[in-house]
Amino acid sequence: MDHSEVVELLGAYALNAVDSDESGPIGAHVDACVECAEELRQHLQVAALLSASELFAPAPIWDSIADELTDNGSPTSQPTSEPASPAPTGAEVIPLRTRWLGPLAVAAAFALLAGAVVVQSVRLSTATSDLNTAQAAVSDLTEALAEPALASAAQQALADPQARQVMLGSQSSGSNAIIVLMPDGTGYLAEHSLQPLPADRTYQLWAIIDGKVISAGILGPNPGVVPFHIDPEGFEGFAITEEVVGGVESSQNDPVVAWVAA
Amino acid sequence: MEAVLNARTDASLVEMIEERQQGALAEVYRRHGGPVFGLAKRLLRDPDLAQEIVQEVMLRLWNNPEKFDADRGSLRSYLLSHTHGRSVDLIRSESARRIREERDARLAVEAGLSLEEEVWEMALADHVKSALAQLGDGERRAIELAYFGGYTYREVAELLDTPEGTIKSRIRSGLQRLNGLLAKSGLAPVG
Repeated sequence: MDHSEVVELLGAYALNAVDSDESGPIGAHVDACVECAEELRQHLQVAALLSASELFAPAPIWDSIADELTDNGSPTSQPTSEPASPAPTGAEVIPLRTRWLGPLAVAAAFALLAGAVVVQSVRLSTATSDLNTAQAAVSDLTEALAEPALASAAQQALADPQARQVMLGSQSSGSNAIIVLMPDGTGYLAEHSLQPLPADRTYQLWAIIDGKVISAGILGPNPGVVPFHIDPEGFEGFAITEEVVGGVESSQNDPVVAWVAA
Repeated sequence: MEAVLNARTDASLVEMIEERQQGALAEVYRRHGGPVFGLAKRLLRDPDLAQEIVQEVMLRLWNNPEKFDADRGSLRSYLLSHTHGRSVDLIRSESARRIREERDARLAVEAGLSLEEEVWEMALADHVKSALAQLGDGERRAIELAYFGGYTYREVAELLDTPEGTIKSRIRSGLQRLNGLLAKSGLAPVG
């Protein structure tokens, strides 16, 4: 198969739409032809954009993959294996199944609530609020931790096998946020993809505890790592809303992102 | 939070996979598992088979991370290409003949939904839908049947009663036009 014949088939090849007897010669030519390799790269990128239709990776599939890794005796599953770099890659020691509790629950919540932004059924406006208490706790924590120490504390929490990581998500915006919650109720907004807000607006974190929505803190218009504290008993989920600066005692707004236990 | 896995680049995660760090594969799965599963499910119309494909694709990355070449495209396109290839293999294989027959039968009866309509119902981003809409009918149909239908260009030619050479050209030119249109949205690599 010469260059011009391969070029003619590159689009179909990128879409796996050539016959099996054509695939080998095309692949061999592409390996040796810079021009064809570049065109194929572009076709594959376009195809990838056509594919992207699911936000969340189903947790049960990861469990199957993790089982395979364990069954095959991968080095990381063996107690004698040596972590490559424990400190900087602390998040890796989080039990893998725990990592996916969040997305799984988000997916379940999405299914339950028919694809809308989650926790619609838990209207924030109907819940009681303990804003002052939560804000005081946040204030105390903020004062106790200098900024670098705050990131470090969140990092340690992320690496703590006892901690629970949850990913708040939204099907409509595609935004997400990762919160890590320690057994004692101390938590951190560790990472997020929330868009920065104008100076007169703020993100506000809510905890859903025993069916009630309680403010867990004001996050600010462009949050970094933010600590908070909640009562871990009866904890059922988190939501983040956009509010006027200073926050509100009960929100009338739907969550920007949310996570609810399945 | 540089040290956290989800701050790392895809290429760096693959390097960690080469070092047999499971957490890196978990992060790859978190980032790309959704679209990978979505594509397999869309093609196979069977969540259980789609799950098997996803598992296979991820384990392939785990077992052969060196086969990913960042110079040849993104990790997502690499994973999706393998997902598509394996799904299509399954569709075309003799052992899956029954699956395909059932799938084609469902296609025919599902409330009269054509493949084209179904593609439009996918949760594609608006700019992707917009770009597809700007293709000529011939280009769009050829790409839809090949990519979402899992047909070879020869089968597409037969289905559309069009010469094979024309279909080859339409798929290629359609992808090139999509690339240009999506590049305007800042999504596709500019040629």
